Amino acid sequence: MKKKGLKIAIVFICMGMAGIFWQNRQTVSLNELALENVEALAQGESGLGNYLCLGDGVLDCDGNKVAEVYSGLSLRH
Amino acid sequence: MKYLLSIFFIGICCSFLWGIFGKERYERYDTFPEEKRIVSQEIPLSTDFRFPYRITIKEGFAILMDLHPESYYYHLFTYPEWQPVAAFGKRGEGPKELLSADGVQFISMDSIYTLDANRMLISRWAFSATTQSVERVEDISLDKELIRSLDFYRTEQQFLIPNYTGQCRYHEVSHTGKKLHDVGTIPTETYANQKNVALAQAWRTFADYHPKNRIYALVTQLGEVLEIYHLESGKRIVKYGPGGEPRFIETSGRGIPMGIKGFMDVRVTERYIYAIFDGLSWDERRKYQERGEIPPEGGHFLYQFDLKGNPVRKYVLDRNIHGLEIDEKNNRVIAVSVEGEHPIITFQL
Repeated sequence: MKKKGLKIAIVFICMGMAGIFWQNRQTVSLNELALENVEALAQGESGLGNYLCLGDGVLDCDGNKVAEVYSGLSLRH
Repeated sequence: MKYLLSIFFIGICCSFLWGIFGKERYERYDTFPEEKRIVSQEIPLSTDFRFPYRITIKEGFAILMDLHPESYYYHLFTYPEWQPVAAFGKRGEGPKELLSADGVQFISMDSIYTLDANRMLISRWAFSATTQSVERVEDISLDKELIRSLDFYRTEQQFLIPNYTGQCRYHEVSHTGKKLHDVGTIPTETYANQKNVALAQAWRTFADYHPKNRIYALVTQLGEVLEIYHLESGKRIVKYGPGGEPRFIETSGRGIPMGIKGFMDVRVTERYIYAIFDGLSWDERRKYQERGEIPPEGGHFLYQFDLKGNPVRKYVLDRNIHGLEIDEKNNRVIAVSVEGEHPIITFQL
């Protein structure tokens, strides 16, 4: 009976942890372009932080309106 | 012991279920009951623009805002003749010049309001028939607590300004620029525990208000979320489209856009809400660049919602547009586009 209880406890703990993980999940994906540019960004070639504000466009970035914002992590814009 | 174990199991179960079902989930729309293709007509202009971005029309005049001008951000024309009258809002770093143009509201010929987010300044301008020029007559410095304001609407009572800190949705600000009240929250489902500047940047919105129905509508620049605040009743409606909520990652304290580029501009009329929508993902945009092509600039769709946020009609446009004005009486859209030779185009709905 004790063993059965323990097994159930483990199952529920796993489910609980899965729930918490699911709640907090945020996917950060890397792509080829990202990997190519991480080094450049890490060397401080960005604007005010670890990101780049590029071109003329509609995104607000460090006081400018730019076409793209690249991050050192995702390099998506 | 058995009793304690049972309580422990129940606790774990509750935590699991809360993780899945406990988060607030907003209403969705998937499709529009009607879809219609509409064709643009160009309005030839003698003035050159680098990035025509916003348009507003009132009392037989139109104002066009250039987001990246050589010299002036704003241009006044007669409407519907489109004869140039005056340019105003010189770009520059001088004391009387504008560092940026972040919006224009045309109330009357002596109440043209503009926003310079880099100076945190709303200015009132007036047209002088004598000199045929538009002069700055009042400057309103915005409360430093707002940090950065990227959009505004002046009502009879106050300014409505979207929030930039992530702590609320928008601010009510006095006509002298002082923050009065914080209203609402950012309706995120994914980042509910992250109420910061990065979240607010990702949820950057364009907004419009109609004084008759007292509806303040906001649309997101990323993702696909429409929010409607009924200022009369205080009721809020949130509608997620298929594009979902703005996606981002936080880097060096700022929100880096991911997912899709969403809405471009919004107009609230007496009966409907109109919003320009893009929908192209940043990944797709990058593929254009990799092929050596220029990605589309502007929204390819015009969405029409009723005042409760229900989809009414989806217009598929033959040109990408950034800003719009609705002539509800003549069932006409006047829009600005950066693509093509002529910046102003019209659509018959």
